Amino acid sequence: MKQLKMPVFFIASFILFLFSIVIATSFGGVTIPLFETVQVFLAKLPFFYFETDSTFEQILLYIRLPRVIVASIVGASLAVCGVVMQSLFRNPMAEPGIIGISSGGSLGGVIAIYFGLSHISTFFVPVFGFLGALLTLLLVYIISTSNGKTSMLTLLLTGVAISSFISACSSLIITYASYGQLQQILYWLMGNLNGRDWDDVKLLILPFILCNILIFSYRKQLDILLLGEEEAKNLGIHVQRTRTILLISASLLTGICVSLTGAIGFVGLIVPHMIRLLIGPTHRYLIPTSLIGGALFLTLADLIARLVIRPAEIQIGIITAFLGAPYFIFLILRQKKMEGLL
Amino acid sequence: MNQFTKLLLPILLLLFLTACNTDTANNDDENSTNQPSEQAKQSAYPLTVTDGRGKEITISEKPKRIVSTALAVDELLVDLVPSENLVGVTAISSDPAISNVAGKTDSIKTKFETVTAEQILALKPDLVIIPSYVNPDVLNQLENAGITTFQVIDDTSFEGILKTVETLGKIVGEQEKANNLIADIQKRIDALKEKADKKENKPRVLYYTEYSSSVTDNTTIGEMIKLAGGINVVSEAGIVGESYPDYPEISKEVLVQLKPDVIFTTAWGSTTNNGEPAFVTEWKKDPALKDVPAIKNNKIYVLDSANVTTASHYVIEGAEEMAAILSKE
Amino acid sequence: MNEAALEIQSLTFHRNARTIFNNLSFTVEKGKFIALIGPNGTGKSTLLKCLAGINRIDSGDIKIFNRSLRQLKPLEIAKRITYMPQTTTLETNFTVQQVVEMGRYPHKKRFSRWMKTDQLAVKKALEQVGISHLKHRFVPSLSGGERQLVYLAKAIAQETDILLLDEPTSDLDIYYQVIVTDILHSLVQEGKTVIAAIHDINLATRICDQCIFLKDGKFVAYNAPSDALNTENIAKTFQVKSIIYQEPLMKKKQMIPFDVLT
Repeated sequence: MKQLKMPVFFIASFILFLFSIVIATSFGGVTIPLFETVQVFLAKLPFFYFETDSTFEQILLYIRLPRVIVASIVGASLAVCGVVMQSLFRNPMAEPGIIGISSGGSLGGVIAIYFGLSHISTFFVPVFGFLGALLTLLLVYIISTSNGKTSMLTLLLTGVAISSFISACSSLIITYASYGQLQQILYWLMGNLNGRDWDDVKLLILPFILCNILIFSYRKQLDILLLGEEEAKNLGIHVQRTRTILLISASLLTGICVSLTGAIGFVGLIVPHMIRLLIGPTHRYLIPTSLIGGALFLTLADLIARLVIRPAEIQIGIITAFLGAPYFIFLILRQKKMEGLL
Repeated sequence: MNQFTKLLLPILLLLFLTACNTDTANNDDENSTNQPSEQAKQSAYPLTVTDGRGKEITISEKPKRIVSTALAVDELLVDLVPSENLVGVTAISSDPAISNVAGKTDSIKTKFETVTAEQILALKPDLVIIPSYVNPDVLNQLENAGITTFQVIDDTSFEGILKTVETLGKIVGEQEKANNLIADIQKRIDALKEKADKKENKPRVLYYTEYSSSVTDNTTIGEMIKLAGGINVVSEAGIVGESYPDYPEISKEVLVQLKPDVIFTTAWGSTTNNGEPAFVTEWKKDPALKDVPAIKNNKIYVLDSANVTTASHYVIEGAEEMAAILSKE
Repeated sequence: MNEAALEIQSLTFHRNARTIFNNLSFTVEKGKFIALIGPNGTGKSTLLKCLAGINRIDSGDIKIFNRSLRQLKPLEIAKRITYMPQTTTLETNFTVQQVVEMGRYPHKKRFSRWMKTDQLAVKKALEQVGISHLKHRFVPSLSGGERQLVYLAKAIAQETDILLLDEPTSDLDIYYQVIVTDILHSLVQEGKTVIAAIHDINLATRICDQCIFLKDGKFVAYNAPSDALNTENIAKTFQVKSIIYQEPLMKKKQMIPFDVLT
């Protein structure tokens, strides 16, 4: 396992990321010649003047670009939340929705669709999604905390139990849904980036920046928490408070993402592992690199989703599963092999 | 002149005059309709119509690039609008098993397998007609791009469909064609009604699908059954659905109780054995159902899906197909 | 008499409706090596955790160099006391260097950068423990003994005056036991105060300055090993009959148990 030279790696991956945004925006259901794409982008900069086709401009700048940016932000968020959960729970199988946030967000959206609120305004689904995530967080947290102490094991188990319960509730609602609602519900449940526009970018950007600043400021504590609870206390970390703050930040960020795009699986589980293999577990590098890795991963997955059966789209959750599950099995086999050698 | 010629002459004269009059009448009609329609073309736009969402949609001039995003809309527009003005239809419109306009949309280049905003925008449409069950994300993107969208009203009763034809005719500037179409359909409806009213022993009909669901009178298919001169046994028994009131699930027990004389079904997408849908074969073999009159007497009819499950003016063909069958009962 | 490194007054601690310690009071002299001896489950680990501030005591006071534990924030405690638990599981691939560096955390203010003093402390700790050659190895890939040394180095890098160690030698084979014992001795010679729970009685009494025999949350004995190690104390603490003998080299008392007490 080589530990690559940090600054070089970081700059290289960031450039790769910018490149991926351009590529992802250039391709889609409708073929737009590459030079047209470049023209549309350049026309937005000062000093350049081009006659650009307004339809292409519409598609590139108002349909594809915001979608790609949302994919990047959500991918980055899920990856970093995955890092936090895996470190807090000291469990490599942890992922952002582990304490039930994703399920709660999903159910919120399902309820909004079922009661017809989504027809009144498309605003309702994300709001209900976020409320669902928030309420689930509160519920799971209250159950697992006694005497001011939160047991991580209880949190995990409660999260699993509540997720199952919520899935059952979703299934119940699905039984009673009409055909049109059913389509919308399934579409929502699988997670999708279709239709994400600049409004969604505006909603995401502030929580994204704030939560990441907060999480990054706890990078040393995250390292030490991996040693164990007693070790962390011994080094002077206020374990309860640190865990609560990190848990809430990661859950809120995950909740916002889920409320806009539905639950997209595997990103938060796989990307931290991939990045750790490349640059090691120290959070000072793991966090920013996972942000980029997550953004790249989801942008790529979204591109595949849009191209494979173009002009139709495959749900993004399916692509991330197809990419993620085999890689996960590979990780497990690799781990077993290493243990064999040990 | 002999007496025969004396009689023949007036008759011939009468015939001749009638013919001339008809021609003149036609000419007059053409003349008289030309001018108002010319005037109508000149003064009709811009116009404002309320669509199925209750929104006021303003159309500033006659649309030249119309996009349809649902099969029913395809069927409606193909018969109203010249094909050079229809720039986008669904891919399914070419499938004769389900589409009533298969073959008529061949010249249209863009056919949507899935409806996405990108494809629609690339066509640079001046009007997009959407159904009530359109994907809200797609709709949102179209509206953000400033495209004029018009949602058809969600009423698929015969009356509602004719109203939709009228509304569409108005907004695409083909009111004459629309009115002719409506008149023609109405005539056929009236013909069926007349025959149905005269029928004495109306056959007891059940519409029953592969998934055990049926329809009440309050549906398009229910209306077809009525126009065809049948009695819908579901509504006769007052059955109403749990999750979808107008589309109740009919269990085997209830089916046996209802004892329909005739079963209508459709089999688009179902597996067939020697031309008979597999599920129909299952019904015939099922010992629990052997005493159901329709099954015992082999009166199970697989109707043309395009006719029966449509939501455009082609519903009349569904009713006529049913009527043709029931008239032999 | 040296100054008191730790002063424990009327310590009372309950857990799960059981009273573990009731009004326990004692002092620990600075610069001494105290061995905490007793059967499993008698409260050795619990006592150490109370002293380290990890268990919150129900009543009583613990003073570290005259500062009450209650009034100290976790970071301030971490600068004064190092606690090394009996077992640690680390599955993440941190290097030895990275783990030992974590020992410096209490000394880093919120956004302060890595200083020469930190670098020096880590280097010194690695050398003192003798694992400098392992510093780029991944901790989970090391043997049990090597791993224990890493945590010891981390504890040393924390540069506190008091070290509380829970069974630092129990899972080690003899080779590493000797190494660890030597390191602990040199720490005490530097002036640090070491309290170690050790369940091997002979090892404990050989290496400590003073030993505490602990049974059911009460002190059976607390003095120099030559005084504390007798058949009576052993019987009271461990419920066994024993023979005490003196080994010829360093003239230290050792014991051999031979029968249980009925």
